[in-house]
Amino acid sequence: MIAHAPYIAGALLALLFAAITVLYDCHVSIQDRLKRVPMPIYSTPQAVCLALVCGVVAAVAFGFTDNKGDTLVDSVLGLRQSNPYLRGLIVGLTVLVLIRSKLSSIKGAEIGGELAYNSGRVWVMQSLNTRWQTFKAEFNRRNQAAALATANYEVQLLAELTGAIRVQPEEFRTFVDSQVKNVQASRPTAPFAATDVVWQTYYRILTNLALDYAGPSVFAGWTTFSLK
Amino acid sequence: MQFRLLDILQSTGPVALNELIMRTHAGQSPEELGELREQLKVLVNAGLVTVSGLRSVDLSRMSPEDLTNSSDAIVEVSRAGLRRALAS
Repeated sequence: MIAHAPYIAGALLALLFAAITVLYDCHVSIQDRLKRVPMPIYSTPQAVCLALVCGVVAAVAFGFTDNKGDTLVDSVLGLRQSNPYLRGLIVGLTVLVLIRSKLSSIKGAEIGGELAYNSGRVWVMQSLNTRWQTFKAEFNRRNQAAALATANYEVQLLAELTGAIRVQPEEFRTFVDSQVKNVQASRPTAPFAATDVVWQTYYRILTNLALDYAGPSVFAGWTTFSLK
Repeated sequence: MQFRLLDILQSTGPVALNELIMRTHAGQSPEELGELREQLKVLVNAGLVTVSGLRSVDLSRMSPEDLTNSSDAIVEVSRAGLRRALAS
């Protein structure tokens, strides 16, 4: 049993670091494509599930490595490492190279690991979008009355939003700003009334804009708002 | 600067059609709404976007009033659209 300890530890290291690498890859790709990651990626069960599956692949792949670098897995990863702990760590960190290697695509067409991994990322993005839609709906339900009761809500909220995205690239700020201007151009012409559905819709859309591009933390200082 | 409808849809997640209209079109004139309807139709036909909960079966038959009052209709990027976004 003791003789197997380095092997088991190496496999566990491969699993752990592969899971972290996959969560990071999901975070970066979603942030890049969706222009935001609305909630922590690890809070999505689907992302954790994908990370664990890739972790198991890494642990199994570790089992096919040796201290001489003679196996197929060693050659794909360019491994020549005798230390099992270090080998486990490297297999974990490079699991995506293994899963998405040229072995799993032909002339640009995804097959095998590449297809499965990309399908997994789409599944994570879809579930994240659904969770985000639910979060926004519940946030509005909890806080719409407080928003409608806040004096100068629109001015205050847009000032917070502008401040929150100040550090973002100019393209992103222009992207958000164009939407804010479009929404403001549709401000209701009727006098403000908290019971007016048109005003309620307008406030909800302003709230969604702030949530989409600055996250719930933009409301952190608003004592009458419930963030959770 | 005119941003693509798909960029906005990707950044918002599923969104009510009337909210999408407010975010993308300042004037909401019948011509602008017609243009949005055509853009949406192209994306739906390409399989990149799905529209659910529409009262009218056919998007192209919706009047500007139907579009601006369509809070029940939800627009979102489809699986194929997300896959393409990841690949780009």
